Amino acid sequence: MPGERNQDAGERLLPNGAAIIAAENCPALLTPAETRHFAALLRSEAARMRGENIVAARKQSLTEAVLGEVSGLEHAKDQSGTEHLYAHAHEIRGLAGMAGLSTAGRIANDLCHYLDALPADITLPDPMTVELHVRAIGRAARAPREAEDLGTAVAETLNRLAARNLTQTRSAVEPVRDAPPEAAKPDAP
Amino acid sequence: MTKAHFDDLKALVVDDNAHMRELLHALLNVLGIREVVEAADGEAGYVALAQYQPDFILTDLAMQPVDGIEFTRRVRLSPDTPNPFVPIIMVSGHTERNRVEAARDAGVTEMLAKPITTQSLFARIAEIVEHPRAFVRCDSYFGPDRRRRHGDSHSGPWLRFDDSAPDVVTI
Repeated sequence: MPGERNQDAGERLLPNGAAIIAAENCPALLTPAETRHFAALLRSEAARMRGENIVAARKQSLTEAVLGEVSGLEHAKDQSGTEHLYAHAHEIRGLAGMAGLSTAGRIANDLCHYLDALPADITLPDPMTVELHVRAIGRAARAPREAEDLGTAVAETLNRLAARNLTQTRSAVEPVRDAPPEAAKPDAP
Repeated sequence: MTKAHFDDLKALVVDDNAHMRELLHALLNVLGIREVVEAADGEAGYVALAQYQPDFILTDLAMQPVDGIEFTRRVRLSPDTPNPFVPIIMVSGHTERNRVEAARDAGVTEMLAKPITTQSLFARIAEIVEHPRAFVRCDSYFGPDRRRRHGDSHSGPWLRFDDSAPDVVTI
C-alpha cells in the first residue's frame, strides 16, 4: 500500500506510489529525551540572547571585513570581466547584515542579481550601472548612519536603473540572436 | 551514532571566509557544542569529515576550489564517503532559485540564507535534530527526501510528467 511502511523489507514506499525507497535507518542525532532538551535550548530566549551577544561582540571585526571587501570591489570594477566584482559583492551581501551594514548588504545583493541577470553572452556589464552600485555600497558601508536615512531611496533608484539597463541590453541582444543565418537571408536586389 | 548528550555533538564548519567560520564556531559553542572543526573549502571539508566524523555540517556554497555543492555531492555519493547520511546545512548568500535548486539536488538537508541571524541558525539546527529526514535513492538522486509535504489526495504513480518508474532499492 503506497505510503505505508513495509516492515519486513525495512522500507517505506512514497505516497505517490512510485517505488522510490526511503532509507529511514539514518540514526537520530540524539536520544528522544535529549532531542527535547536540546530543542528547548535552541528555542530559548537565553540562547538567542547569548548568540546575539556573540554577533555584537564581533561587529567591529565584521565591519572591517566588509570594508576590506568594499576596497576589493572598488578595485575589481576597473578590471575586465565580472568574476572578481561578483565575488566581492557576494561576500559583502553575506557579511554586511551581521555587521549592522544592511544597506550596503542590500545594494551588494542587488548588484549580484544584476550581474546574474545579464544575458550569458554579455561579458561586460554597463559601466555606469556598476559604478553607481559600487559607489553606493562604499558610501553605505563607510557612512552607515547616512545610509539608514537615504539607503532605501538610493537602493530603489539603483534597482530601476539596473532593470532599465537589463531591458535595453536584452532588446539589443535578442534581434541579433533572432536574425536568420547569413545563408538564409534573401539576396539583395 | 545517536548521542545521549547534546554537548557531545560534533560539528564541521566549511567556509572560505575566516570571519564567518569563526562566527559560526562561536555560535555553536554557545549551544554547548564544544567540538567544532573548521575547513576553508570543500576539499578540506571532505578530509575533515573522514578524520573527525562530525554529526552535522554547516557549509558555504561559493568556495574555491571545491564549492559547497560539489562537496555535498561527494559526501552523498562518493564510494569512499565516511557518512552519506550526515545532515548538511548550506549557509549561503546565494538565494537565487537556480542555486537553491542545485544545492537541494546535490543533497543538502537545510538551506540557511546569509546574512544569518542567531534565531535562523538555531532553527535550522532544531530542524535537523527534531525531524531527521528520510533518504531516497533513484537513478538521478541520493539524499534527503526533498518533499516536505506528501499529498494524501494524490493517487497516481508519478508526480511529474517526466517521472520514470524507479526501482525499489533497499539501503
